[in-house]
Amino acid sequence: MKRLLFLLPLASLVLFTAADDPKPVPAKVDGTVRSISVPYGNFELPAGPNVEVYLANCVSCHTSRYVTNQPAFPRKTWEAEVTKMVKMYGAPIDEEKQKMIIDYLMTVRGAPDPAPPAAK
Amino acid sequence: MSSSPSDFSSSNRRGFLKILGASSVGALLGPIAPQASAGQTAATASPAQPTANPGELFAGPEKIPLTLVTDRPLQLETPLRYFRTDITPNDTFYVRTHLASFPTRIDTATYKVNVGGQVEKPFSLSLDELRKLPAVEITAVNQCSGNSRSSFKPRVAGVQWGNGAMGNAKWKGARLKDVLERAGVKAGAVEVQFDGLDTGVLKETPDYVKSLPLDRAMHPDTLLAYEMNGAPLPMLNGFPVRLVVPGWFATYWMKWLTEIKVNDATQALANFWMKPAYRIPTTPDANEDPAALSKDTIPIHRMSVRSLIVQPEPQADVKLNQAFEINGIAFDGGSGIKSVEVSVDGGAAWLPATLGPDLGNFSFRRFRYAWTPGKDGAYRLMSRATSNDGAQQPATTIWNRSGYMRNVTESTFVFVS
Repeated sequence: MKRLLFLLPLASLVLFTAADDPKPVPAKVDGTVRSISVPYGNFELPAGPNVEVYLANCVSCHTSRYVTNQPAFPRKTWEAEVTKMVKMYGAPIDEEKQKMIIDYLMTVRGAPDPAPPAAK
Repeated sequence: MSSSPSDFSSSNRRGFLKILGASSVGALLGPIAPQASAGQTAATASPAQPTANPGELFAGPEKIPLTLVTDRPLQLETPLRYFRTDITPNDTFYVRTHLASFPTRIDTATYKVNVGGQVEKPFSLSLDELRKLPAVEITAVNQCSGNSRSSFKPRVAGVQWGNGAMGNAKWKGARLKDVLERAGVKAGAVEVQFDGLDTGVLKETPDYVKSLPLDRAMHPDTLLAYEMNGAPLPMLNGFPVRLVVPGWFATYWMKWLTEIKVNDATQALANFWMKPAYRIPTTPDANEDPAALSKDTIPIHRMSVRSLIVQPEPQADVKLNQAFEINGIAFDGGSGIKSVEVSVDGGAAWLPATLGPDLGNFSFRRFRYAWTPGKDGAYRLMSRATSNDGAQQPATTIWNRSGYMRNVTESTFVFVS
């Protein structure tokens, strides 16, 4: 009995931990092959003009969370991001559509241009 | 305890947050005396931490639910409470993926790491052969270059990490040096480049390939790791082999590593991921002016000294006149932690903390400070680490265009009643 009492706090600790931290889904191991399955995440696609252009040209490579997780940025920042996607990541988006996408980004995460730096 | 790291419910906390939201009420915060000391930082003006990640959780494979930052490519952040242990468990370790197409199925029988380029004898290494090389185990922090990016002001574009894009693990593997010496590095070699199995969705998207200077590649602590905390790496953390570069930011810790190529000066890697990505200004502490960006940049490399209070958590309620142990973690780029000081008054007075077990110079180092608050109200707790190489966390925050290298003394606001 003494022994059981000694074990009790330990057991409750284990139970607490198990309830607190859900068990992860393990990798599947089949012989020498190890595999995982990555669930789809929910994401938000805010409405706005040109959302269909954004959807057709951007979301194939990355989730719309890449936009919805960002703070509001001025147009110059969004232009630089779209230019990076085209010039650096190779997204095949023509200039007219780039502008439409930037307009969409300004609708959902746009900020006014920053004030010019004060004279020093 | 709730599984949500940002779930708070007490009316005290709500009232407190309201106070914090106002910028001109510093004088109302009794124990946080307004002061002109070095403890005042830009954060003082708006002390509420930016919450880029409002706490939505995502249960990835081999992971318990972690803070979801983005779902594709997958970025998962480790909630603060999992830093209560010195070693970050594999199933809570953060996940950073650059490209949406990453491996979900690996056959360990046919997996090979190819070694080539400017070497005498190119060869392929199977996992069995890798495991037969002399094994080394190093405890080291893996921290994303952009950890804490969401705290930058003005804000910068990029994955909006809080403070949880880091973890500390025991990495076991073979020395890269042993592998390169077996291949025989030719005279004239200057760097080693690394590629893993991840790719972009479009063939035009630059593959994620990175290079290390030869001396860093030949460093005895640089490993080809096949174990993390005594177990195979989780697939999302690079199973079956990832590069481990203790002291350097995680951008170099190539996951799902399959290609090692030695380059001479004419072949030095100049892809998107080396330039313009993952670069810092050459200025001291990588600091630059948002209105006049630095012209000269270099690849990000060694981590600067940092510390973070783990308990109490931000916005926690702490009991008046009762002993509470403030604890947290400190680390640097490999010289090790010499000391940590704690402030309970917003940086006016700094008090020495006790250091926990030394798990090596690349590891998290626990610090503890016994605190018995004797007055109720809002408190600003801070920690400040000094490394063995003499560097100390700065009181004022740096800024750079990419949101890298943040290491200002962080603040944790709590409420005592």
